[in-house]
Amino acid sequence: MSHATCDVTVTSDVVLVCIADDDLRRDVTATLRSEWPVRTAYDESAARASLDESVSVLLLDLADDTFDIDQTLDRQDEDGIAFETAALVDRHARTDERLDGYVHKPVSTDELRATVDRLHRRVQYDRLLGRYYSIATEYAETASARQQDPPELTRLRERLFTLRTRLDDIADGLDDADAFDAALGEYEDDDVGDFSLDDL
Amino acid sequence: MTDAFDLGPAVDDAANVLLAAPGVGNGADRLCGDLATADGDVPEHVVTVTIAGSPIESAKEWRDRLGPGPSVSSLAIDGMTRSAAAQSAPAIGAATIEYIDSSDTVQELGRRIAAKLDDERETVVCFDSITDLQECLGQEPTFEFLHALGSQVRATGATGYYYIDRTLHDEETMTLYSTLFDAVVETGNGTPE
Repeated sequence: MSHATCDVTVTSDVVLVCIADDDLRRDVTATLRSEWPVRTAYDESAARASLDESVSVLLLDLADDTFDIDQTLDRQDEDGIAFETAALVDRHARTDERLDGYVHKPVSTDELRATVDRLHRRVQYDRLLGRYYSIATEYAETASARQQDPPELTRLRERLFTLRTRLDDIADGLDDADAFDAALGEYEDDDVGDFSLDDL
Repeated sequence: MTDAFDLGPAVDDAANVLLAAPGVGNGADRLCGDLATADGDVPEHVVTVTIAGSPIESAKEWRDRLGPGPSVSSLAIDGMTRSAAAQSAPAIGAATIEYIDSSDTVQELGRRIAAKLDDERETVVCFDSITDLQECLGQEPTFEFLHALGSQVRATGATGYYYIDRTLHDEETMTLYSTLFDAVVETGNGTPE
């Protein structure tokens, strides 16, 4: 039986809060729940059971050994699930460059909200940019087809315009590091993540 | 140097402009310069990015055009062009030339370009080229990189010109990239139309 509590099962942009300490988990969840759908897990198996494509941000308490960050991050590769990760850490703890954000203990409400909001924006930007590319590709194919389809071209153009407006709004809320990381993060472990001038 | 193009309000107001021309060799900066100065204004700060070309030639082109006043900052990928460029470095006056290591990620390239943008000064970015970047990365990562860069250019109030060699891409690809830009300038012979 899973120990995960699934408050929202069909909504995306879920924050999965993985904290073993009951009081801390309750406080963090209460802070986040007013703005985002939240799931909670208090051990590793519950976290794994609850981690699916609906999860956008995973918040993990690394202060004890309950949660295995390596196994969690492996899910991104194994299952192709795209989510951002933030860790609760002691103020002077060493940072892990594989994580996308940190919240320091004792947890400040403002820092917690700001971190989750920032990571949500990264996820939204990444997903929306992928969708924009997909529709732009369809538009380019349709526009270049021998047999023209003006109504379809108009429909695609309007979808692109709407998406572009949303995409630009989200991008405007990201700093340069987050914008490039979010746009291209999925290529980090691939060959295309590195320049290879030998190809030129 | 060209000095009398009426590019119309669409280009005048654009933050990011696709510059489509047949292969111009080292001429992308000249084309960018033609566009950037078409209204008679001179930018205060120029950022050039070259994926496969020489940043020194790039900086020299802008220096020759703008004189000593504006700051010029050129960024290139460290690779085959560096030693040849160093051996024949022309006198280009004050310009910052930086190389990014070829083993660095494309995200790092983006951050380095963004760090050179200056919202306190009228800034022009000349990107040479989409064609070379696509050769390195493939189409989708190039597309995504360009949106992220374009958003940073727009956010700082700069104007970006992005050169693409239209002889090396089919119509579909040209249309695809055009969806990222506020305006597209097509040239037939290396001169903006």
